[in-house]
Amino acid sequence: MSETHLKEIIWVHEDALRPDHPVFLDSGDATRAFIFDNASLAQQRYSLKRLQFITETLIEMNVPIYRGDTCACLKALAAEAGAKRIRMADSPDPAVAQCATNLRKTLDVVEIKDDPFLPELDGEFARFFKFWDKVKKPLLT
Amino acid sequence: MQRFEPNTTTRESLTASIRTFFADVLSDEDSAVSPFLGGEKAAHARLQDIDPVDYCRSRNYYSGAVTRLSPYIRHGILHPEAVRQQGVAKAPAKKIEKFIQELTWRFFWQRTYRQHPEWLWQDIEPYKTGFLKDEYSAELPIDIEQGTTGVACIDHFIQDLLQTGYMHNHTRMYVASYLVHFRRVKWQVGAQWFLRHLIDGDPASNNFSWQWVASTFAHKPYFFNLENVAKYCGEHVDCSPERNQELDATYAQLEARLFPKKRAEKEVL
Repeated sequence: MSETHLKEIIWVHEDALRPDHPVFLDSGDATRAFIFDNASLAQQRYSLKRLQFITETLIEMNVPIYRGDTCACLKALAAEAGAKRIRMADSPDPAVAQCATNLRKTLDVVEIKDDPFLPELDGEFARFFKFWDKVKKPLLT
Repeated sequence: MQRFEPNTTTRESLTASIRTFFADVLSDEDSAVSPFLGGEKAAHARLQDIDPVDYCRSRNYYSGAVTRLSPYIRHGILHPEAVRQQGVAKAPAKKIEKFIQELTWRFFWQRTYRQHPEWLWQDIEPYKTGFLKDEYSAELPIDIEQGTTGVACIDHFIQDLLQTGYMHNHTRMYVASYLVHFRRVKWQVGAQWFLRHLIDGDPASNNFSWQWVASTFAHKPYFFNLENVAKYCGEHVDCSPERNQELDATYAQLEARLFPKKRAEKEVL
């Protein structure tokens, strides 16, 4: 285990609950944490079904589960572990990005992208089938 | 900061722990547990069982060979490429184009979400229904929330949502269309309600699909009639005319009833 691993917290969020996601690659015994965010819970009002599905997944992954303000929890866990860096999976969720921005004020934050399903493609596509025509060839081989 | 250390002895004890830990955000009525098990093991068990060829043939039917992998893909438990690979291991890619296309829909929605996060809750375009956005209600009707509309097939689909946290994609479209076009409720209200219950609830796929149904991200509104529901779901769902009167009409009749202003505009032109 390297010194680097001792000083990282892996922020596990609901967009990346796969043990072989690159965010976990070579992470050794780094502290991992999933946080049910109080503000999100109040706003989204997830049903028991959703909470159970996520919890079962986290239990299987052996990821500690917390509840509170996500940013405050991550800062507290980092302080407790003497960590200076948060490692997290990339997410399109603006709330995740906002939290990462907040964390960057006091901690190093590293966002890890998942392996791409398709290569990056420039431009906007207002309708799916124009996009599909552009990307389908490698997917259908 | 509270640490959650649930009792994992049985699934029932886990459920009880969750209900206690989240007691302040769960209502007393919210007691249904999804038959879907979380985790990678359950995901891979389902992945082994997919039949992509049959999926392409029957996916629009209520009892069709849909994969039910969406909760696992949504949470990143399964990578979409792993799903595609499992598909092409069972049949040539050209034979399962619709299967691969559906995986790509998710990628498309995620891409759109990254490019325009503000579109998630805003109308991307105006409604093409003849109605202005302010003519749609901002409240979820209680009979819809509880699945007691009196329209038998719609109530059946809503109970699927409430009891299992999963709906067949076709039935999502029916319920979304019923809420937005038959009951004239803003799509955002329905999108939030679905995200509360669907265990595969993904903001991008869910909300942009609602916008597609509503016509704020499509050329025209999506609507349906009882004949269509009976064709795809009739073997398993009550599609009798007497218990689904609101839907029992031709498309022309429904279009005139649901979008009267649009019809008036056409007549003026």
